[in-house]
Amino acid sequence: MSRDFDWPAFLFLLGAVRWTVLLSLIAVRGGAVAG
Amino acid sequence: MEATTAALIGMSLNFAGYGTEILRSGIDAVPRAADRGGAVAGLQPPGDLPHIIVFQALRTAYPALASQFVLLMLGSSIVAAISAEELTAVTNTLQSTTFRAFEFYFVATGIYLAMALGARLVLHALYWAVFERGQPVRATWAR
Repeated sequence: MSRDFDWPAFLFLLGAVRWTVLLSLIAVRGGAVAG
Repeated sequence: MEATTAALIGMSLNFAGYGTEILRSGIDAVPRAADRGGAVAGLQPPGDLPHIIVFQALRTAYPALASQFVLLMLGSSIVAAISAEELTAVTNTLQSTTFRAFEFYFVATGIYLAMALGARLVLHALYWAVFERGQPVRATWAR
């Protein structure tokens, strides 16, 4: 059974953005040190 | 090894490789005459490196490094393949449980676009603050 794309689902996606940005920033930091 | 750790190591090595090459090209782009200009100003070779070479190299390489960061951020979606938690992985999970693939991927695309534009805006502001603010207006031939 499918459910609609609702506001909580959107907020959940936005929460994942935080991890994406954090991963990228840490990777840049790590890359700068390694490079 | 946890998925997030593996993702971080992979992304760091990727950025290290590309970033180092970008910085190398930035250093290569600094004219050799800059050394002599530093000597005229009283700076000796090891000491002139941060003031003359590195600043110009960073200014030259910065736009490419900023683009590389945006690419890294967008390319982080690949780590969803190893179950690291990020936007694409969460989108995959949600669309598989709700069967609303189009809606979730459409919104995720919009979020990635917003992230890229936001990062570009922030990085451009940083470039202005570090390299352009307080600098004299550059001649058109020097651009």
